[in-house]
Amino acid sequence: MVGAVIELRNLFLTYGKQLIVDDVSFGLYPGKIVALIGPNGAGKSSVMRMMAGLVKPDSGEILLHNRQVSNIAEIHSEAGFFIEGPDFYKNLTARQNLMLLKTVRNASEDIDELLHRVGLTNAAGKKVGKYSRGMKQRLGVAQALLRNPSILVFDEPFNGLDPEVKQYLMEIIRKLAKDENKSILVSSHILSDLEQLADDFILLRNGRVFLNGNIAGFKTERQKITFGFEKRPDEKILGQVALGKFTGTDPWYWETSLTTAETTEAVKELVGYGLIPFEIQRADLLNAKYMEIV
Amino acid sequence: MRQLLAIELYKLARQPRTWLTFGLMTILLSLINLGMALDGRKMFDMVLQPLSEQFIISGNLINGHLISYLALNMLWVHIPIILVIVTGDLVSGEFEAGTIRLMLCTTWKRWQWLSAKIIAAYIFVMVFMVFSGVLMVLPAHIIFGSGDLIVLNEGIQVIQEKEVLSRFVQAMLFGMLGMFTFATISVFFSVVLRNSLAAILASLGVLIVSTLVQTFGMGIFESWQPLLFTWHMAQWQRIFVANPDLNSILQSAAVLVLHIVILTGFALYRFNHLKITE
Repeated sequence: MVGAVIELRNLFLTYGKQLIVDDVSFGLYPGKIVALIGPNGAGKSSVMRMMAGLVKPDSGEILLHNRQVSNIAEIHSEAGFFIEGPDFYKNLTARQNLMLLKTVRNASEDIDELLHRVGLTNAAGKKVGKYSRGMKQRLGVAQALLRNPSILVFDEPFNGLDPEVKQYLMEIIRKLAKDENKSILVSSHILSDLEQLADDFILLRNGRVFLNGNIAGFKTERQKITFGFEKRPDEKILGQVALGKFTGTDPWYWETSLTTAETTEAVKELVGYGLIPFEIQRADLLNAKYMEIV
Repeated sequence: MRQLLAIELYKLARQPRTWLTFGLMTILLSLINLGMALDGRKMFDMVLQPLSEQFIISGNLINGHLISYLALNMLWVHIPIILVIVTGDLVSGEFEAGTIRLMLCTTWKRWQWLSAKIIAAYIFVMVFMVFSGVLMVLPAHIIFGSGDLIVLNEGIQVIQEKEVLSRFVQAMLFGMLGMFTFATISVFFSVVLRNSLAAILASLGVLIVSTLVQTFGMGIFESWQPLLFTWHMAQWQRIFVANPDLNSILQSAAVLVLHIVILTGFALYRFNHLKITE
């Protein structure tokens, strides 16, 4: 396996007497999206702020390509950050904001190309103060891409977005990892989004890494699946389906517990018996796991 | 650093509040000139009446030089009040707007960013002072003409016409140093308090208290005077005497520079150790 591009080792952070981040360690790998999840106050934003150098950890170290980072500028030369918001100069247009950041960051990107990439070409000349939340989020992604960083950190990028914009941003982030091999860390409260997007997850609780793992691994675990039928199905026939033991929540909706692969097989079997489900609901894997342990 | 400075100046130029300060100064000086044009003669006749009983006064006493000098006297407390609108917001404005995260997520060090901010503040102060100086001198000369400057400052001082402009420039340069000091105080509060209104009020609070103690100037307060930055700021007045005491003016300048160095040091230290949670 390729080594971590960036690695956090035993980070601790306190605000006053309160321990915010407690011995957090993890790494980001090329082409992988890691979801940082946890309840409010779990320390997600603080971890990202430490990575960005906005907050200095009390102890611990950050390694970049296996070398300890002594100057936070080393991280900024390789990483792009989207930290809470982000906020821009409201009296400047999107293009002016990006031009300003391009100068500050010594970047060489074509600003119009960047704006096109996040779908803001038509609003490039509009003052950011008049932008909707979704437009600001897109601009936030654009500024993070300045200097073409190999590491990207997105703190709550989908907050308050309508589904269309959210899908758009998710697609951009997915492409950045898969097509451009970037190492990405994303936090969000919307776990179903991260489940679709991320490869791995880190669950923080009270500032500690409570659980981490591979999201694909969850898919081999059985989850509650609800099938909705147009016609009331015959219980006997349902009983003949090899996979899963169905229990009816009402005459038209039946639940069972299946893995992702088993669900496909079960659907085939049901269709074979002439029972065609018009709706299949699967509990969000990450959400279920999250609720189970938090 | 040049890039950072250019960016900071660009941001200042794009802020409406920067232009507000220039607008306010224009209004203030226009009002002074208008007031002097309408009622200046009457006012001066009243003030000079006791003198005219003892001296024969000839020539144009109410001239552009005198009006400029009076404007400078009237405005030396008002100029910092106007300047702080910009300088008090310089860092805290970024905290409040959340743009501090964008600006610090760069390869620049924090001290470099704050230094660029402070230098930008000084450049703004410089431009503002030059603008104010031109606005004090030029219209007054057009309206009231030229002549010797006769002022009551540690007695009656007569400064010859040909010397007045250079004295005025020296006074403005000294005043600029005073305004740099006040700008540094407001940037310091802007860093420490992270709130523009609080920083502006705290800076004005320091200015008001210091000016009050200086104005009171009796008993124990008299001995405090050399400790007050406003007392040193006001030393520009000593330039408008027949033979200025250069040593005492330079001493005050050194005290102001010391204020700048210490406050900048504190601001940089504080800013370097801040946890940016905004």
